[in-house]
Amino acid sequence: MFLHSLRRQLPLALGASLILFAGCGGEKSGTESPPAGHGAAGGTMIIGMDADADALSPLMSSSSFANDISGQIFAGLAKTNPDMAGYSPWLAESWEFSNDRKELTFFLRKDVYWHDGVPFTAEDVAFSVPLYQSPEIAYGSMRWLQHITEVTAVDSYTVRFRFDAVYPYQLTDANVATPLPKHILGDVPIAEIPTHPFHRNPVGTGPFKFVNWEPQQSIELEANEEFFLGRPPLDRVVFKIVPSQTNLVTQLRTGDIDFYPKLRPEAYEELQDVDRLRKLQIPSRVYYYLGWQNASPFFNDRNVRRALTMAIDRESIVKNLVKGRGEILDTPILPFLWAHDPDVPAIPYDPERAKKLLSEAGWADHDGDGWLDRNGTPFEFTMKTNENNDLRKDIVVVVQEMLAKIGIRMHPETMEFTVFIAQTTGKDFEAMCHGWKQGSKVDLTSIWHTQSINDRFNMVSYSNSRVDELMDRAVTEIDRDKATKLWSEVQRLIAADAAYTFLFTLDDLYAIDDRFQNVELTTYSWTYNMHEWSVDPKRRKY
Amino acid sequence: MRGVLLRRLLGTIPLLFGISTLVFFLAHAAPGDPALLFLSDDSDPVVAAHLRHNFGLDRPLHEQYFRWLARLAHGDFGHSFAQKRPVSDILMEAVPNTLLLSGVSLVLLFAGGIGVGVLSAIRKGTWLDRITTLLSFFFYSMPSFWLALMLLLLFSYHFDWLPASQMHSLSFQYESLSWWGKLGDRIAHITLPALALSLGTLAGVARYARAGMLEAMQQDFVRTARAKGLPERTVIWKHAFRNALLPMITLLGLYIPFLISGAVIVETIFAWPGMGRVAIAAIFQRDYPVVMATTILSACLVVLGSLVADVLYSWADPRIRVPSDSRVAGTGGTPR
Amino acid sequence: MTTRPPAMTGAGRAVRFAIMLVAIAILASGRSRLAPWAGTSPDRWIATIFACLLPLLVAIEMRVQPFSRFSFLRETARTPMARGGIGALLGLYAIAILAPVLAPYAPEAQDLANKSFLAPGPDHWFGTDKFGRDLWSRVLYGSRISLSIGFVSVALSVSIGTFVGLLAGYYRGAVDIALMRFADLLLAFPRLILLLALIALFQPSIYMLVAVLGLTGWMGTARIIRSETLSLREREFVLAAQGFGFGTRRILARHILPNVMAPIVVAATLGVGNTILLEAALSFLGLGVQPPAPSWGNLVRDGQDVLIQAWWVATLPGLAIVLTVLAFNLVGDGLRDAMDPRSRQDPRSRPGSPIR
Repeated sequence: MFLHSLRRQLPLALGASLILFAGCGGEKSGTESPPAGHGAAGGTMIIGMDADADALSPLMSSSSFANDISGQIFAGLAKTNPDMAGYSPWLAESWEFSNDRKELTFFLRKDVYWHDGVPFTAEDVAFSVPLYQSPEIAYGSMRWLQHITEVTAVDSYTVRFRFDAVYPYQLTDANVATPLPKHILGDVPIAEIPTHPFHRNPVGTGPFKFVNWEPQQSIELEANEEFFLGRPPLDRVVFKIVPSQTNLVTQLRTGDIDFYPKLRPEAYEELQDVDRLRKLQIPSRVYYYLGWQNASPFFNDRNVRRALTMAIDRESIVKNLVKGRGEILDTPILPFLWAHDPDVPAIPYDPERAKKLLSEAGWADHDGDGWLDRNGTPFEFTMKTNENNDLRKDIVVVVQEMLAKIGIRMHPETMEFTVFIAQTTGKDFEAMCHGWKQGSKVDLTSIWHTQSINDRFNMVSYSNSRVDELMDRAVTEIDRDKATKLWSEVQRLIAADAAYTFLFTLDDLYAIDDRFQNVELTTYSWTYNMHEWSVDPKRRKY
Repeated sequence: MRGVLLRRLLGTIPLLFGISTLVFFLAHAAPGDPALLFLSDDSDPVVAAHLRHNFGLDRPLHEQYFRWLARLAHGDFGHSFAQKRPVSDILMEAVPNTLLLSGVSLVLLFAGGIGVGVLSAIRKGTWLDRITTLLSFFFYSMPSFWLALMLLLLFSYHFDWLPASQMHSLSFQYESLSWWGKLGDRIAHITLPALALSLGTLAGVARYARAGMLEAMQQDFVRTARAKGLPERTVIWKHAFRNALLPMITLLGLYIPFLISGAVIVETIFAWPGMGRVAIAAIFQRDYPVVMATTILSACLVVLGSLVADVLYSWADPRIRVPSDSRVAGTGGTPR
Repeated sequence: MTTRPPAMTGAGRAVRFAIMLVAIAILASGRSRLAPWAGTSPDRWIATIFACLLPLLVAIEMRVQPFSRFSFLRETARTPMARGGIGALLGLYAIAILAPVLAPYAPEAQDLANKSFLAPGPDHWFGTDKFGRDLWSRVLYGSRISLSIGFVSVALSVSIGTFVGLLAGYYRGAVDIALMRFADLLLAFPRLILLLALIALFQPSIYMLVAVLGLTGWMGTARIIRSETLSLREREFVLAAQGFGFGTRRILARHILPNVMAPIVVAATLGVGNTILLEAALSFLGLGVQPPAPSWGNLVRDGQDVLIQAWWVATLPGLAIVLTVLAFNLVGDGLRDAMDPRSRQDPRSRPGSPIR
């Protein structure tokens, strides 16, 4: 769910625990259904985007903005709660596990129609899941579906998933495969599905219908009159693609864009004096870190890594680089998640102690040139990051200066995103600045497990057998209290080993024209309740 | 003449072949893997392997190359990795937009450049001449993206006179405009990018126009015309101007590649959906089929541009024939 | 080369010697503080080459002069604009070499907490950037990097272009066709796209950048030199030299090269300006010199996202680029007018690609 450069990352939601709706049997389509929210119907919202989408179906889209948009066109079986700990009914009214937890049955709403008028049924679900699992499609998160062996439509509105394992995230995984219309894609040979025009002209069941897409210009959606919770208040949502940040901020100011969901801290600061814009700051799912290659002779000593962390003034970085719009982090599990342990001992900013630890490890200024060395080798290395992420580049520049103060010479090296990913996953680096976006699962194995060193995302080659063992138990632990304890110990061990220097989570910063109402932005997604957003009728512009 | 043209055209085929070969191996030799863009930390390496297989990247490089050539021979550019649709669809959308922007810039460039150049030539030595000359150099020395940013800051942000992005208003507003309204809307949207693209080069054209005009005004036939007592206006516009215009035509061919390259940055800043943006995105995403198609296409435009310039030149000045030695890019040495 | 001005006077010689000596003295005296090769920055060798260029160029001019009896400097300095350009260039060179003395702050010294985004004022003439670094100092140091990149890569491209042009023009036939076809091929690429592809191929470092800019910029020069050589090789003095049985190498070096110096110098001067623009464009796309090196392109890029709240970060370094390129263009234009007044009217003879 992440590897994307943070520039393309999304946001999250805390505390906004409005229960969206609980099984209220929605009206039949065709009848006059009141809007889902309390806002008056009508109006248009123009949302700025800094890059075009790649595809608009959940099967093929990979950029985060494209996912945000396809999330409005398509609906899943269940909806992730803002705290990312549970699910609310959505296309499915309810669900239940069999006694052995190997079967999960969804009971679907009977009032859902595809945007072209065809009823949505269990057949669509049973048709879709194998697509997400197929190698011809190579869906990015296909690993999540690895334990689903069979999906059967029991009747038109009941669908059953069979699993070959029992683990805490069965519901999450079953929910990954957003249903696709069988009546459109059912007869298409699977080899042709990835390039089928459907992905650029999607038909879904979500609150908004696709209208048109002018590449590199705009994507327009309109209200789905037949939406199963009632027509969304907004008539129209237009996503306007403007790749230049300066240009985006200019248009926010001039009112040509109503909403931009990924403001940078400087731009956010700069927009504070525009009264017409509501400024919102919400904890995000993204964290930044410095990764030290544990296999490198510089960083294979835990005390050296701790010393490096002590040399870095994270408070100053948060305060000055991101204008305080973030929070220092000490563990790999973000604070809004149930498994987060708030009492993990932090490594303090203490350059003096850092120097002491380093000299204990043999790194001292033996030759008197002002820089640390050991057995004639100077402490000098490169730190890599991707060039299209300005914040990461800024961090590297600041860290360079901080390390220079304790006598360590670091050379920044920025590269294109694809090259960066190829090199970091290939462990071809000494240090790097990178970021992860927290998915809805609590699962640290793909980043921290010894087995993930070779073929997954343990890029820093972190290996701690105790952590491996605890994680192996935690990922299959159904009891959340027990799992919390296991994850807590994992976090403490990882933090103490300092394979990463955890930096901070940057809050998601939004500016939205204040004529829009009922806008609830959450850590999980800023589109969380877009089907309830509305415009103040007196101030409607278009 | 027609035979020479045909030969020139045929001569471009090996050139295009060479370019495509070069680009193909250059692109594939570059580090970075298109499959990695679609991965997440939940992904197995298997996913990348599947993707590589689906993209045909797991075959030997020479095989990929021949497959690509074979498809190209049928006019098929393949499917974009990133956008999952035929490359030809992408180009069909982007190329007309780039041509529109380049075309408007070209007109602006020559009309403005020649106007300014002739004006300062007629007023040679006056303050007007000095100021335009210095200004020409000033604009000519400006990085185009910096100029673009300054224009944006001034006309969109401070004055809010002109729209800062897109080709036209969002379709739900644009569609409701009258025909004239649509035209006005489009003109408003193209103004800033076209200015950013043409101002710097306009200054260059103005320099040439001024020099050419000065030279022409000193030539015998102009003096003769003056001696005959023709009005100054006739002398300048009918005699000197026509002659000064000649060499300007070759500039046309020279500036076409520039307009395409320069468009890359201007298109990004002003959100113009043209080929430059497609090309840059494709390079960064290692979307090989799109990279190949855009390079070949822009090479074609460049070659075509210089051909057009040569033909125009020989048409305008019959003393000079289209060079028959197939110097394709046609920007060759001084014809003396 | 229609006019053959009188041989250089003793005074002109003295001025040139003086320039050379001062430059060498500056280079030699600074040692640890001024010397571009001191320190650890990754661009130090490029900067060193750059620093040695001025003395070298002056030396070349003095060396060429006996052959063509032609002084580039004096011929160029005939119009006030070109004189201004020459003055500005000499000033720029001095600034680049003396940057460590002139800069009030270290270019990489940060003060994140107290000095971020200070507007231009008496303490910080050009204001400060996000990290609280003094922009004036960074622009001064940046001149080293940007000018070095411009000079060294143009030296490379002009050398290649001259070499290829001489060979193609002198040998004609198959050599000519092969070389010029290759040049056509490279010319048919939009240069920016070619550059992007090449830079993506390797790790972007300053050496890489210089090499790539040099290797993609020689075609224009090659074409001009080729056509000059084509006509020169039919001239009496070349034919006579051939008649004496002089070797090809000697004819090319002694008889043809000095006579094509004029277009080479013009191409080089205009080329430096273009290359600085190109470096800025590449930095804008994120493919320029590695941060935190203060190349002018990087400085403008750093400022483009904060254009509205801190206009000075992008605007002032941008102006530095404009003025520098302006100086090069003025000198180049003056040079061209001085060398060959005819070329003004035919744009085909304009060397250097108009791409930025």
